[in-house]
Amino acid sequence: MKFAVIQFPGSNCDQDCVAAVNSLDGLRAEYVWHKETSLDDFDAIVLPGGFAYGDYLRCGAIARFSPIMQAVVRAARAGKLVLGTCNGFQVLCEAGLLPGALVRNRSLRFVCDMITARVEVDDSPFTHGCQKGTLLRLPVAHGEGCFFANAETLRELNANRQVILRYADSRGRIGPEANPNGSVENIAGICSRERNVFGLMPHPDRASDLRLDSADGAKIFRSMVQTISGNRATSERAKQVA
Amino acid sequence: MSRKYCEAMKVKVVVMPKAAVLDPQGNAVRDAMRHLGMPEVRSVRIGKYMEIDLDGKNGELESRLHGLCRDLLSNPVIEDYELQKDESVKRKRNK
Repeated sequence: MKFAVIQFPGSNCDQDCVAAVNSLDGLRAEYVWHKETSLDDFDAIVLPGGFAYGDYLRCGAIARFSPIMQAVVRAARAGKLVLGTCNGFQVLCEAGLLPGALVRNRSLRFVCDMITARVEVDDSPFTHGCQKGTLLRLPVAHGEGCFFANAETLRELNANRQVILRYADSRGRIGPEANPNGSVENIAGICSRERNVFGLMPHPDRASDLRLDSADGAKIFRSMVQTISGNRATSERAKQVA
Repeated sequence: MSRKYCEAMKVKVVVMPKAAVLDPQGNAVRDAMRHLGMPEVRSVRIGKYMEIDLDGKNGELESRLHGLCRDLLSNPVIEDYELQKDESVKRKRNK
């Protein structure tokens, strides 16, 4: 199984993502430069953290016009799994693959911390290895991670169970004290309506090894693997039946 | 018009956060202004201001410009933009 890790000029978590993916059995990650135009050879796509194009103008505003993004949009429409962490989440929102936007932290400070994220949906392609309410310890490092969506979009996100992760305290309680950046309703990660595109501000890539203080991030990558294997098995069976 | 000159246009684009979007930077500046002896300040909103120089001047160019204002210069989810046409200018043609 092969994951693509997109490299924009200014990405800086691409190596973390590749290392996290490669540490899992049967998984291989490859860098894909943003000037490339095809992702056909890959089972899933990861947009890493960093500061693509220096985050000039707005985070992700310029990156979303990179040639590779057309392939990312095509892959997303075709149902492939797309994961955006941190800056990758910002790029996915700018590209319109996820609703809402990420704006300056309410505190105006760059936050670099270990946070707790509560799993809100246990049957998403990215979290089905986790029960609802599971607490994941993941690092955050961002200046513009305050998730914003207007009231109507928020209603849809909640109604369609697209909010996958919320910032919580160590006992799983959602509140302003547990919110590192002022995100509306403590939202830390959302998926698309079709559920195959997932963006989150925390870094599962930087928490995929116990030597990094937490291996909870690996649960997300492992869940993706299970989803892809499950889908393959289903389509194989369908072929046999046909 | 003389062949030595071509039509050109200067525009100003102002991008502002929508009312519903938190503007902590604006709030910080508002507080600073109050601290500096201006309690009358009710609110400050901080946006972006861009000056753009273009060769050419016609409706088609303007509508393409509006397209890029929506796609690149602003994010309609969180921002509104305003495009102000400045004076028309005539610029010397490049040889």
